[in-house]
Amino acid sequence: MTDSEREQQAQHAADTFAVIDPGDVQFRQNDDGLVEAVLGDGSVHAGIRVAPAFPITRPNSFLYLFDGDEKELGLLVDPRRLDRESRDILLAQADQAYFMPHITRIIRVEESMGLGIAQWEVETDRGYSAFEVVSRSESVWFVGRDRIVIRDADGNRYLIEDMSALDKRSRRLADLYI
Amino acid sequence: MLPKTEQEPVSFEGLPPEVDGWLKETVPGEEVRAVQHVDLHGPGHFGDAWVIATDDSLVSVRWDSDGLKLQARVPLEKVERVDLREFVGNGRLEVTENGQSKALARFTRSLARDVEVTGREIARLATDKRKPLGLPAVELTGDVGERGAARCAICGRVLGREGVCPECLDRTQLAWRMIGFIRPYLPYALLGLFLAGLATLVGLLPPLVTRYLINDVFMAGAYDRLGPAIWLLAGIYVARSVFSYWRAYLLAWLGQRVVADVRSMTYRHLHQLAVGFYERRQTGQLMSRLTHDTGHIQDFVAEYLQEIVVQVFTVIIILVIMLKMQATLTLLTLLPIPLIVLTTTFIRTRVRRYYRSARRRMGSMQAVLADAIPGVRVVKAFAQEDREVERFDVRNEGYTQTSIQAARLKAGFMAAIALITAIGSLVVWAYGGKLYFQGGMDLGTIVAFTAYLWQLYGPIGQISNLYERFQFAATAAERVFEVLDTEPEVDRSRERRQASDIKGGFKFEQIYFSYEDGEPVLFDINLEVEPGEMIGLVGRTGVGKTTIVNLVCRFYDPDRGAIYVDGHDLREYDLRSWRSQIGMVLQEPFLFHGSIAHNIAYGRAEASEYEIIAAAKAANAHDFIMATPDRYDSQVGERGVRLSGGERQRISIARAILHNPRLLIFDEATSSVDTETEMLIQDAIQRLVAGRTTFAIAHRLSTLRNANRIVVLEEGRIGEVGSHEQLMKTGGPYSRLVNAQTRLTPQIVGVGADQEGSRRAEAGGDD
Repeated sequence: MTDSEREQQAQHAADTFAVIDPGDVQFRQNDDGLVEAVLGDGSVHAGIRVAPAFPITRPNSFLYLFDGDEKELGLLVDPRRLDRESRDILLAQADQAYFMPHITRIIRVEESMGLGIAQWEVETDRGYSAFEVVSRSESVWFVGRDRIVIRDADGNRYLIEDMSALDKRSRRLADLYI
Repeated sequence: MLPKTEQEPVSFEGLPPEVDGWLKETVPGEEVRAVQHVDLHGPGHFGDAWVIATDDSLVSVRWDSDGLKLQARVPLEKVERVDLREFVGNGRLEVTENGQSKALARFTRSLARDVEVTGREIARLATDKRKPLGLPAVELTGDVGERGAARCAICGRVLGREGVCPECLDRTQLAWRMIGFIRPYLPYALLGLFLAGLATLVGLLPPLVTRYLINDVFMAGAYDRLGPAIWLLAGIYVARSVFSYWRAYLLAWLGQRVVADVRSMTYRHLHQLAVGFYERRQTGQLMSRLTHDTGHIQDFVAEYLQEIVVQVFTVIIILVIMLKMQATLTLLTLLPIPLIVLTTTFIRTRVRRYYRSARRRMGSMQAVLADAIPGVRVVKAFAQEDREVERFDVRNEGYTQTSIQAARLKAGFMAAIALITAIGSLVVWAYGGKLYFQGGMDLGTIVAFTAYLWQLYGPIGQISNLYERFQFAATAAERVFEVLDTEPEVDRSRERRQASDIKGGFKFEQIYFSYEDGEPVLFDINLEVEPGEMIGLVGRTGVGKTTIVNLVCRFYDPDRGAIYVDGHDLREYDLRSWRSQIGMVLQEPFLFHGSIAHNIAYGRAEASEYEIIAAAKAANAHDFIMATPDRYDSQVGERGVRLSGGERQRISIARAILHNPRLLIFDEATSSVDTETEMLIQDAIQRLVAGRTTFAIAHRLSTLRNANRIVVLEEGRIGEVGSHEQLMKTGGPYSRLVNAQTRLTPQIVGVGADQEGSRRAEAGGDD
């Protein structure tokens, strides 16, 4: 790519991305638990909704922000550069927007013969959970090399971040099913 | 009719003596110059007939029930024309004499090629006779039309779907090549074989211990020997289990390793082959070579090889032991063996035939389902439920009958084998018992003998099956080797010019191209394309639009002429470097199994999230991606989220944008989408083509409104070139196409309205 092309692309990006500079925004939570954003120009936007663009691979960055009227405020690429309080509020919202407990231990995986339904019991970073997976081929998928996403019968999502980090018994149980 | 065996080979020398004799009487003293045997009589019955050209005449004779009959006779110099006429299932050879055509012979399609060759020879002979007389030359007209099924190059047999001739395989060579795959694991293979031998040997010990127990413990009343004997037996069983376990594990490991190597090697090789290799073969067939055929190779290297050794070894050792125990009795017990072998081979073939038939019938039953269930609206609309049910029942019954037959045969087979083996034990008890009372054989030996008998019959049944298994493995191996033996696509570019900095100016100079010899697709294509220009390729199906794209991608090289890019012959560029500069957006956008982000970044795996979002925005894909729950991490592909055609199309455009190629190829990028989506796609395309040389194939001419110039192809040649306005003004083929499409549009709307109406009517009918 030549320099002029790079420039062109940067210009194009600025046109298509309303990028929000983390130094230019603050978040606060009002008494109702709703989030407000205060932008650099002093404008206040209530009822902020956060939409991570890469909820599985980059859950805490590339966050799209919408105001209460579903108007896009822009893309916040790196929340680490926010002030501490704003960051905590924003990441809590991002977590809520895409709730996906990380499986830390697998207690039980049992497949019912012939029905293709599997009962899972797991320990996650959010505590114990039991769920059912209906169709292996449609509900379990790999993201990247070793992240595994499991979608249960009701549409809840669970993540196995790194198979090799699990204990041996969990690995064996998951391996046979996945 | 002549018996088949006598009639072959019918060649020049092989003219049957009767015909030869007849010929000497009919045209005495004339030397035979050409002979063609044909397989139909004039009126259209199967039967032998011959067309014979001698020095002076052309005769055709047929073999009737009451002897040879002359069908036609023409002096060679009078032959004015030779015509080959091709009909369905048969053809006719004609000659013209005094302006009058005469049928010389009829033949089935199987002989068409041969007759064409002989016809040409006859024309040559006639010309030779006519020249001295100052008469014009004779040529064969007409041809035999389309080719038949592919045949084996060696023996001429018709080849099956898989393209392998089972008769002409060099099985020894195939076996050695398969064995070659074991080489990296040779120590393990030998260890496995050794363990198999040990397990077999140990397995042969228990009958000997039994004999000891009966003779030297029970009959001798020696209780103190019982304990040690039991311990010995226990030791034997434990050892046998241990050896068997290690043998089975080692061989399974070996087989899996070997077949993993073969699969990986074959898959890697497949990716190095030229596009042409894939176009000649079915995708499913190639996939089955990787999955199914490699499995047969696994069976061969892991199971088969050691089984041959072990089974033969077992049979020999048991025979030696039995012969040592009682020679006459052994020979007697061998009597049922031919019966076992015969029954096994005979019944197995028949059972298999039934199972195959059952599979086919199951297929036809499924075909009814595949028709009627998706077509249920039509069935209901025409009230044909009963007929569909009956159609299904007929096939259901057929399948059931065959399955029952197969099961019956199989049960019979099991029973027969059990009975035959029982004969052996009857012989042992009868003859052995007689010997016992005569004092020639003790009880323990008789019991041991019976045990060995059962151990002997098993491997013999197995051995009789070995050849067939080898046959499977050999044909499977042949198909895998065909892939491995195909030469990879060679990059013949000598200079290996890098394409990374090209501007994208094209010059097609006198391009000629054909996929198959004699069927040219492109003639004398000359075209210059400015860097950054968008060229629309227009024309009917099969005029060579896709072929031009194939040449640009260098999937093929032109037969004559050259394509120059920035003034250099395309063949000078490094192949991979050249292709990396091409972006493609196809009619059926291909998405890989994986996330949307992964698909957008397919051409550039290291692209940042930032770039991915930018590309998706430029392709008008961002908004619908953000509307899916997993957004850019959503799974697509056959199991992933369902995307509409237009959405898939925009993802593939985003992929091309991120790839940032110098050259773009569109193949009907907006064919099957609604108007609004088409606008979104057109908008994205416009952003993508800016500054890139683009070739766009289109049937719907409205999609070419951004093209700088339009090239209209007609039968492999360039018909006209120019901008939309220019071509509309000249009123050539392009303007006719545009007008035709505009006229069609209101009708299409009409049809849509009709469909709407019928749907409503249907819904009403359901109420």
